[in-house]
Amino acid sequence: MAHNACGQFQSVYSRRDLLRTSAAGFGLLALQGMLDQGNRVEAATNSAGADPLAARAPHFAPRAKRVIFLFMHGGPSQVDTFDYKPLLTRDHGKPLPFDKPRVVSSETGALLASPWNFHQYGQSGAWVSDLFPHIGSRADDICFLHGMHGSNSRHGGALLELHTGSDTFVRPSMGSWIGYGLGTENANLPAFVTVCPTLTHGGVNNYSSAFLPAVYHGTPLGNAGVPSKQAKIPFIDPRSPAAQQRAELDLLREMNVEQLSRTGPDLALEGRIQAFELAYRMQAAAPEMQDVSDETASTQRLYGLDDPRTENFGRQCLMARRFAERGVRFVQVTHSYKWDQHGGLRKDHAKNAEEVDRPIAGLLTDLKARGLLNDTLVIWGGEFGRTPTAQGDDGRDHNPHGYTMWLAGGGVKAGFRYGATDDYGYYSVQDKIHLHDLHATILHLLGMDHTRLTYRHAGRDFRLTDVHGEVAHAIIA
Amino acid sequence: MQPRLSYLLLSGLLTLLIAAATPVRAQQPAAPSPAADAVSEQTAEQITFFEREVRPLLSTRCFKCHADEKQQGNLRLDSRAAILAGGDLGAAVTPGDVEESRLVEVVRYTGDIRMPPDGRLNDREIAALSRWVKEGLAWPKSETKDGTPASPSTAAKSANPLPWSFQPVTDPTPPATESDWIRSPLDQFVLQKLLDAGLTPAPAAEKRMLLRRAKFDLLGLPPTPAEIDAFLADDSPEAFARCVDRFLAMPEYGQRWGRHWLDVARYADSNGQDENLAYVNAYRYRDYVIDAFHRDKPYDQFVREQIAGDLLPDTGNPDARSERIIATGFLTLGPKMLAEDDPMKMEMDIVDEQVDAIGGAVLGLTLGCARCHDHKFDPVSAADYYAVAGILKSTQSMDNFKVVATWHERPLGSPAEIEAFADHTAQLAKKKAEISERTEIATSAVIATARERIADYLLAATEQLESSPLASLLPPPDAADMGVPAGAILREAEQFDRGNVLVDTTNYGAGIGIVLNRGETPNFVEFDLEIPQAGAYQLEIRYAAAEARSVQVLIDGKLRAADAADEVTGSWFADTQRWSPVGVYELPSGKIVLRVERAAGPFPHLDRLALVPVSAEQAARQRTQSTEDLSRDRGLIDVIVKQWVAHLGAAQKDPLSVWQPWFAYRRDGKLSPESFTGASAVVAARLLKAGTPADAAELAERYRTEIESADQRAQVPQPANGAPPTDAADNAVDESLRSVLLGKNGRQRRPAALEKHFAKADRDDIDRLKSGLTELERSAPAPLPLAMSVEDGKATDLRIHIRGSHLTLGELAPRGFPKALSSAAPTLAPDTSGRLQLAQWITEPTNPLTSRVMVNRLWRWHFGAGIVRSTDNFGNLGDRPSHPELLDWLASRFVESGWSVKAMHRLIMLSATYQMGASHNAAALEVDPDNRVLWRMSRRRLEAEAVRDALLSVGGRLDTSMGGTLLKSKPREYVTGTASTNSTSYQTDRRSVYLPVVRSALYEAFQAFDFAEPTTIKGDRETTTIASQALFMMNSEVMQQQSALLAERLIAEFPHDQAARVRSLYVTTLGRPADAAETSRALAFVDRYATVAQAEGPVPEGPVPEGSVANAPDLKAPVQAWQALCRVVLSSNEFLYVE
Repeated sequence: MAHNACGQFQSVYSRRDLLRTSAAGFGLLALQGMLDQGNRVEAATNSAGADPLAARAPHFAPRAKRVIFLFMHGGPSQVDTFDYKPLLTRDHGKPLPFDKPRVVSSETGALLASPWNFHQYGQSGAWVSDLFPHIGSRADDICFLHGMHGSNSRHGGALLELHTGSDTFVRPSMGSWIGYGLGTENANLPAFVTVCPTLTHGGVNNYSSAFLPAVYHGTPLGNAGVPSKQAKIPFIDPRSPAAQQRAELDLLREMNVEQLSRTGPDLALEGRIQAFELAYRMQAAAPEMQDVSDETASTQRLYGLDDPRTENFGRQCLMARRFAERGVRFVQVTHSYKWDQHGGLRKDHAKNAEEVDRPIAGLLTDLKARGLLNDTLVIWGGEFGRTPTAQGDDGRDHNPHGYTMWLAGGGVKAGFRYGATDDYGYYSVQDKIHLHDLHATILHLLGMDHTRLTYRHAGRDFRLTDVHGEVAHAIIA
Repeated sequence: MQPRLSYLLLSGLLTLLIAAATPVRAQQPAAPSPAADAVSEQTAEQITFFEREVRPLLSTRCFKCHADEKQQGNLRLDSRAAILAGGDLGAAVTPGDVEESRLVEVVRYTGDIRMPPDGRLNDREIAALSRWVKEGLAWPKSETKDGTPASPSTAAKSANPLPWSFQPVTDPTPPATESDWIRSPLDQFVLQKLLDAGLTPAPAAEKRMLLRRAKFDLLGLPPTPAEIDAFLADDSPEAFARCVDRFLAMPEYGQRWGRHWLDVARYADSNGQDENLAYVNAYRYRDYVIDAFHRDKPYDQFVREQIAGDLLPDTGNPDARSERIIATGFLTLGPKMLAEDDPMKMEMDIVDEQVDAIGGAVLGLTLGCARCHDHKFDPVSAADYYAVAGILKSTQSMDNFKVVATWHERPLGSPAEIEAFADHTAQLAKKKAEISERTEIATSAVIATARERIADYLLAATEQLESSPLASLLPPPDAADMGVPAGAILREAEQFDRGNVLVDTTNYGAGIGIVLNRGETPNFVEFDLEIPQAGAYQLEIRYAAAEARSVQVLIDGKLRAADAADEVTGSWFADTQRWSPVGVYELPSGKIVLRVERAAGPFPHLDRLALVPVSAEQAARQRTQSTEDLSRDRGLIDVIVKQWVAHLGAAQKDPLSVWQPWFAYRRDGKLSPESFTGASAVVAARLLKAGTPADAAELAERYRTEIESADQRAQVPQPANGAPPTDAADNAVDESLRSVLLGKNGRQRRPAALEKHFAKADRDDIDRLKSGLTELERSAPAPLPLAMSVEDGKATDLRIHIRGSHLTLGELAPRGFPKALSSAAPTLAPDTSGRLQLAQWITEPTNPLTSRVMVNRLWRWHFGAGIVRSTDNFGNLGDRPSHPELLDWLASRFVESGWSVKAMHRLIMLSATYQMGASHNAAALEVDPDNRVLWRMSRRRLEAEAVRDALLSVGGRLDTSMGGTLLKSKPREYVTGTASTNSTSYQTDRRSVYLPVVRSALYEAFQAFDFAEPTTIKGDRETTTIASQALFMMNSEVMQQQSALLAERLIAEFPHDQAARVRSLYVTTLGRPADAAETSRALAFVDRYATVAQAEGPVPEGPVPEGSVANAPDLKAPVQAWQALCRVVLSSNEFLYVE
């Protein structure tokens, strides 16, 4: 082929060749289309070699197209936030009138009334404590799951169970499964992004693709030790000015295409040409995504960017909206390991809530105003809840046996409460939702049957829900 | 798309599928004849295939119109019978005959009827339908007509045939194919398959390509220009064989192939999962593996050592003994949860991981699947699983199952050294026990003495409680220093005169300057202070703390406060810094030494100290005496006074407390029994039995008597005759009274730090014992290196855990091996785990799996795909071998060679099959796109390690030295902390195999390039192509540095000949010279780049290695241009792929 200094892509294939190649699997058509348009990838064919990130149709009509998961690492207390228990207040100081679980993480004493008052909010009359006045004001958009339960009472196991469905083995994260199932709608960004993830309690395994192809691995922006303002995708910083890097990439593409013309069709080689182009675009798109300076002052205020207490998490939430808006399938933001109040409950739960209350309410308000809440599923919760019984005189222990998470948007009933714990908020007793059920329900809302979203690995078909999972149809609008 | 084309493709696919399926059927006991209509002959494999591939397809794409709701064309597809019955157009399928089946015809979209109408199925789906039809239309027999599936377990259990791999290994004669192409019997097997498929082998690879392939293959490194020249110059027929031998002899071979095994052994330097702790001794296992490959340790021995090295007969050689202990690290270094509240679950999860590792790595069996129920697809029962699990359960891999559990490690050395070390450890323990016993006696004596003075303690503690708490005299946090009282002596904490702490002015101490822990505990600081005038001073400390860390304060060596600064301020940061008063002290004028220390560990974050002069009046109003001073004055013990203060403080808040009469008397100077209720009334009555007390001292004495008698009654639960209180209320009062003496556990309270109150004789005794301990510690033999390893524990058989839960136990499963693979159960001595027998059984030459699995692994690592593609699963759900006879032939040669891996390398690499080129062949590609029958050599991308090593190698900095660890962590230290930082550094020139593998936080570059997930057995790494690989190439530090080094070398080597630079660059990186067009293109690129770079001024290129010419300003632009060219070539597919 002619060497072309300005790097204009010239096909070494005739159209007929291209068709033949696509029939064999992947196809240069898609490649060329992408290089020309530089935007949305059209899935060339549906066969095995297709672009693994191309947007794919779900099993049935979806209610949600994307997910934002607000993860409260440490385990917020249900009885101090969203699960109002008057009897706990009445019986403060008395022993729990039934057995504690066989396995507990620490010894706890008598019942401990919540130090916070609860009020009813909105048309739905949901009870929310004074910790979350702003979220309370959005109660009519929220579907509370009061009957959540999991199996593991330690952070590590519980985090993995929440994120991957298994506290025993390394399994793909739910974000990876969703990327695998649906692909991405923006060819310039990964399908699964996690903002400031924790490196502890399973670390990367909480957003890893495990045995799914690496392309579904969660792309981290920074980690929990880095302020969200400085969080970056690894290797995203260009080392040379754009024009020079472009010149390098043009030469590279020329070399690679030339080699391809010698070797004959090869999906991997073609894919790698494409990967460099995607990387180049991602390099431009990601920092633009993170730069929230083009948001109006009132939007920034809505997320609490004007207040040092809420700025860090507010920025995470605002980035989540921007990612969601641009077609990223699964965005997780982590309010890092802060919610673990074995002691200092009064002070620290208040501080934690203050950091997230305005940003989260702001996110819900903003998503709704932009018409995004309809097809964006927002999930809020920690890896477990806490005991209604006291640890020391100002703390609560881990409790995976009954706690609250909530959902909003994405096809769930708004202003709805589902499930319940016992009178004191220890065990889930009614309309229970296990983490497996939550996973099944999330996939269902995204239009996927959790029993059919499988991947063959080591001679077995794996699922996010393993052999478990019931869709909670009652919460779907 | 042109229909004709897709049809061609499809038939190609089908041919392939059928070809691949043939050996399967041949192996199975009851193969259905192609046209068979009898469902009874279908195999579990076929049912599984139907359930996984076909039923979902029918249900999503066909049932809408051809099932319950609608029956378009009178056709239903929701049962086997309905499909055979067909619709308006007749039968939909003729079982066994794809071409005669309308169902297949319509989905191909080639004729008039095209189904489903809403879009063509993809090729894989069509192939699945075709295979299903071809294999006789399998459908679960137990299924009723309405289409409800029977549970998969019932369906599968009905058959569960022996997998092909359970059959004995045969030693087939190579097919009698004749061709000049053949160089080895191995080629005869391959050629026969090729001819059967109507294909021919690709032309041999040219020599440069072959050399590059062989070197990357064996060493993971690119050939050097000198090696290329030498190989090209050697025309002899043995040239390549010599080359292979030379590579095999190099240590780099061990590094490369050892790493392959480490993938299978799920090697890592941390446990990962939850609390991520450093396995600082795991590297010994890694070095053992590298060494084993380097020295070509027979594979059977290699496996035996890893499973039971510690139990193998002693050879008398201590090095061999150490090596074998290290080898068992294989069992220990798996991923594990170290924080699990349920110890039984933790233990069984660890055992399970070990069973799975042995099964997958060595036998290619997914034994773990049988943990919860009989294996659904393989003839492995839950009883088989628990038989093997019992062996591991009888093996000690853990020292405990606490939250943050401890894995087992063993010392390495000669038996004499180990014995000496153990002896010494025992002596130490004995000495420590003596000390603690002697301390206990002394403590009891002190407590007994204190007990006699209960009344004094009560009085002292009450006075302390009653004196007003100290208030700070210093300005609140946000006020300026203007509020500091005159004469106050202020000192910044960071201006200490002596200390072992760190000064921080940027983070926790931003703007103020604080001291905090540097790593050496206990922390201390000392200040030399000048007191201008003798008098009373109030000492205050300004600090911040997110958790309680009380400190001791000593003035001139005398303890003045034992728990100052003991409150939580809210955070570690400056925003919660606040003043905290410690006490008021009479100080002499002149120099004093004020010492702050924390006996137990790190400091709160100290900002300042202050001594504020107080008037005598103020001093009197505030507490004038610290507990320490008061105790000293009265001959009491401070910690016990504090214990009383705490106890009484809590009692004040309880209106029914037995101490309420005491508080009332202190307040009112009198006691009226009627003003009390409950327990306090009972006590008041008892106290007043002897009339009104004269003063507080007398009342205190009466409390002492009451406490003592309550305690005596409690010691003798059932008094001999008629002793008072026996009713519940009285008992409760007794309990309440004596509770001041007791700790939480209900036993006598034993405060810490009583030593200084011991009697002199006791103290002397203890000091003597302690100096003996010091002596002993000084004489300690050098600590022995430790290895992660196992040893036999208590031999136990397990019961079957129903549904995998240790809470529901079933029948006993005596220790043994899977029954389908072993005719006889082993006879185990009652006190042995059975691990040695397991290792021996696995490595019997007759074990059908061990040799097959390993030769297949070797094949995979040479060709990029195994003869059995599922390298870690040889069960029914794994793939079938593409060349079953070849696999058996290789397995036979492997055992025959004495399990020599290097012999297998020679056998494979000297074949014509290995030496084929990678050239394109459109026809072959169409028939066999996956290259199952080996019509050419597959092109392969470099693995993560090879990418990095190759970059370092062409940069000229690669360090290929052997062994050792680069992990910086201390033993069992967190590698990823809750602060979410991963401190592991990957900046080194060592080969990649030596980079720490931190589970849950893998090196990003490794993650990007499909490094083996270190929690699973990984004999077959994926090769994905993702954007982060490109970002790594474009922007990573490694790439920056190596491309700069390479550019410099080129410039230094050819200062004036630019074309020579390009030539050298190509040979060094791609193994071939650049052609004329490439050279001129490269030079044009460099020119243009340099011009732009010059014009744009300095480019922020990131750190350049020290001493680099790239730092010279005048050279900058051209060097950067050459660096850019190097980066492009190093990013090219030609560099990253081996043909």
